[in-house]
Amino acid sequence: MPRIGVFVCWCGSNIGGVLDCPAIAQEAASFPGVVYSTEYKYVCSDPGQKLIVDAVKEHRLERVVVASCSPRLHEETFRQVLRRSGLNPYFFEMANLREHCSWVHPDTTVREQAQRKAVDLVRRAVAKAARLEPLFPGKIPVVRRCLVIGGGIAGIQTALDVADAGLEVLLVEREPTIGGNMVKLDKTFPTLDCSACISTPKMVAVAQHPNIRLYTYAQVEEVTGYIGNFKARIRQKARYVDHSKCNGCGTCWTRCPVTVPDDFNLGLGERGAIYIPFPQAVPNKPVIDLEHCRRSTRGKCGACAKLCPTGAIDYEQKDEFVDVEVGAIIVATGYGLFPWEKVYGEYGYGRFRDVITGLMFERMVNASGPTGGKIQRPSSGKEPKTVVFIQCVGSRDEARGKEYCSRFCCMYTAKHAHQILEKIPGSEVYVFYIDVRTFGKGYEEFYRRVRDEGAVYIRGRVSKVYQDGSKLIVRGADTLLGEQVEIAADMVVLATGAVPAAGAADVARMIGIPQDKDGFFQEAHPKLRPVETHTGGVYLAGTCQGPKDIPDTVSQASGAAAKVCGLLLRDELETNPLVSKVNEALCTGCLACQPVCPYRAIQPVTITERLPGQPPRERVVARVNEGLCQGCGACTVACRAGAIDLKGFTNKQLIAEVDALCL
Amino acid sequence: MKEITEMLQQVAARLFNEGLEMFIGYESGSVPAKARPYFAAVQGETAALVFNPFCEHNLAKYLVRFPNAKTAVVVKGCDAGAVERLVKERNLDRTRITVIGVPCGGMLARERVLAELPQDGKITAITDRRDAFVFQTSKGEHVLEKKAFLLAKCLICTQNNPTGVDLMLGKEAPPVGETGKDPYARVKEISALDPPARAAFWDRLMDRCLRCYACREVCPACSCTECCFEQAVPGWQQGAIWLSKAVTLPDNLHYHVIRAFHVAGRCTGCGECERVCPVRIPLMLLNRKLAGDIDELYGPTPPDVPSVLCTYATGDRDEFT
Repeated sequence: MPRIGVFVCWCGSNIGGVLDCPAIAQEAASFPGVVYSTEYKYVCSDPGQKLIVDAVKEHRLERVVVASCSPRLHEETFRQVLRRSGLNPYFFEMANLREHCSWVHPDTTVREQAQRKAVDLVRRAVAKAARLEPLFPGKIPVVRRCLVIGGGIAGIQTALDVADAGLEVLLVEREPTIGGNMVKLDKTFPTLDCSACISTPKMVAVAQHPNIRLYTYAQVEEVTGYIGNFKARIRQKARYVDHSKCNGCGTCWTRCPVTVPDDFNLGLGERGAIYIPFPQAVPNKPVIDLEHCRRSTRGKCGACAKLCPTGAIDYEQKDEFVDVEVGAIIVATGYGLFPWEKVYGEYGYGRFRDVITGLMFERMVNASGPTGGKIQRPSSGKEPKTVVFIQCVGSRDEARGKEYCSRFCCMYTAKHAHQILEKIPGSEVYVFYIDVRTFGKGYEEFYRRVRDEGAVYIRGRVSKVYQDGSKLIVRGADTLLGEQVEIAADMVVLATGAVPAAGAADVARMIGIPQDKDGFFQEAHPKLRPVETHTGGVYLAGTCQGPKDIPDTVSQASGAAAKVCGLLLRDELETNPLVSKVNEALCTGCLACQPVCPYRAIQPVTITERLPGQPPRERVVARVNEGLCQGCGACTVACRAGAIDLKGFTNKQLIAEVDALCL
Repeated sequence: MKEITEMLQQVAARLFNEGLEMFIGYESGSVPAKARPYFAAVQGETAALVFNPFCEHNLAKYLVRFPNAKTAVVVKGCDAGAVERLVKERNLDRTRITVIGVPCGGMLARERVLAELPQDGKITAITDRRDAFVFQTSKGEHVLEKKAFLLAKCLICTQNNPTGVDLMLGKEAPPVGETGKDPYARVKEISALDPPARAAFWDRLMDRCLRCYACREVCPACSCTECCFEQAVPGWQQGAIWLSKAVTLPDNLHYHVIRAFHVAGRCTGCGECERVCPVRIPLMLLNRKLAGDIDELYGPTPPDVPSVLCTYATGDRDEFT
């Protein structure tokens, strides 16, 4: 039995104010294996740590138990103390007397029971400590390259930050241009600077950066590997235009005979079958939409090929695959809009042309948009005089939409209201809202300004929008006055909430990161690890993690970049030794563990088994990839033969703990 | 049954010509109205092969003993799933195995048959007449109604013609299970007991378990290289092991419950555990209970899933958050 030392911490009055620490230490001295037991005010402090180092030396301790706070807080601190004392850092076990005892049982009437519980917790820790085994982290090399999925403002910012640190970046965007949703916006609240003016220079910077390789009109199809050593397969969709020859002169897209509704302008404008999404697109080279191209629908045309001065048009182009190796992945797939047409009958299910979404309004009011910046009713082209805004369409609606707040709609509606009042003299603006949330810097000031400009805010929901002649009648409730309101409007703008971008679930499955109940990617910790995921080496940036505005998105993108730099600027990675291990002699190769592993860390391997008196036999067994394994332990439960053990939490150790507590 | 027996012998002879190394089938037992597993290793041994309504054994598990030999095995409808299970979990190399399916008219309960037949009569032939077996004995002909003489598991059988075999002998057999019989009737009965009565029911049964492990040895789902109940923990840590081999009521109960959970979702329903139990513990009650629960909770298991209890999807129900 190893020689165990127990150190009971008062944590000031956090533990010491409720529990009798000297008594705990005294009782712990009688536990099997304990050769030294003491207490101290703050074991984590410098003199506290010295106490451990000295005791290890003086009493020749082989295992150390600290009874203090949560391992989340100080397990690493004390492991370092053991390292300094010359012990393996994993010869350490913690009993959580603070969160598990003193904080939850402060009541003086249960003092005695709390004291007994504390002693039991220490007994458990000692029982486990006696069975601890030395563990050693492995070393894995790092590929100094980062894959960024999604080329919106989050992807752009994070790619630039990583590339500026001197690391190679691969930026993959599924649309023909980078820029995402931000370049569709007109002005940005609350400063009213032009969205394109601040984002297009960043797009150009991406294209020109020597460390960034840009893949537009491409998708990541497969991701394998683990932190520091991922392999990804990128599908470069056929553009039917050879971008190495194209010089972006624009002859083809101005002369294409086809017109189709323009998805970049949300159907408010038109484009050709060969097109660039918008004039500042990066790359500024076109793609052919084969579904609408006259050459493929009718078999003849070929105008673009004839007109192209460089011979870049290639109708026979095929999708290509690029296999890359990267050390880290930043997911920045962004958001889409809540599909309100399918749900909200009271706003007309999308039947009324003058009921538009906030993003459509952005395109309309944008100087480079389909109307050249003129606000007009889509039905008649006339200028609207009365405009109604409806907030929380799809957000904060448990019954039909999403439970969460989309965070940016209050502010963009305020901005829209301002733009209408500014551009259309004598106009009236009404905003139906539930609450107005102006949490950011300068946001509340902006909202006040818009109200002072004449926007009428009505607290209540809209029950019906219907057409009456050329007008849209908006009927709703003013819950502050307790009255019905009816407004004859020329245009209705819906503040549609944000949802995860289409295909987010596929990305989650492909990389192996969890989604929350609404489909946004789950961060590792909501407060302290907001850009990490539970999969090592995979980070999140922007709205794919949850709705957020541009400043928050950019901050998170830079945060993710900093994390990637911290990871990739090292020569080698230390692996976490608390991972699963397969006892191949016991493994029957049924691989029941493989499908339960959320990190895809288990793979079959064929081994040659040599048993006495028998010819060598080839057999399949499970093997854990220590780079991928996160130590969750799901496999250990799936294994009927008990062939898998989680290092640091072995069956032996756990049963010893249970025995210590229950017997 | 004569035709099937002859076919078996012919097929075995042919397979040995084609390089077979082991044929696992049935031969007549040393006592009347009994069959036993038979292992033919050479051409000359195939003449002993038989098939009759006493071939109740599931031979699939024997395949595991010949991992490197080209082996053929005879399976009934209820045994075919066992081969599939062993292959799916990589205990067998399917390419080395020839699975020979026989149509099954149900297996007879030996004690009841013997009580019906004259004591000194010698069985000379058995024919399957759909709802009855006709026994020719030295003392005359005896018609045994299936309804009265079949094993309990055969009366609720839904799969008396094997699937997934390489070779099917004879004509497809008509269904033997009684229509409208609820396979979960007894499970429901036990579940309906109040907890003390249910505990008393199981305590009485588990108390007589000898821990002979016959149920485990015969089970096609119990295929671990080393069973968790056999693993020893060396040295001073002896106390800290999961499972005890002691023959006491709590440890017996522990063993059987753990085994039931280990085979849950993987049990092929062959009922061999119950058949081989020397103290007649109705083990299939446990297995059937879990099978019913799994069906109710997760629906039928898709064919590409090894076991519904061993899958993980991020969309899984998570009742703990």
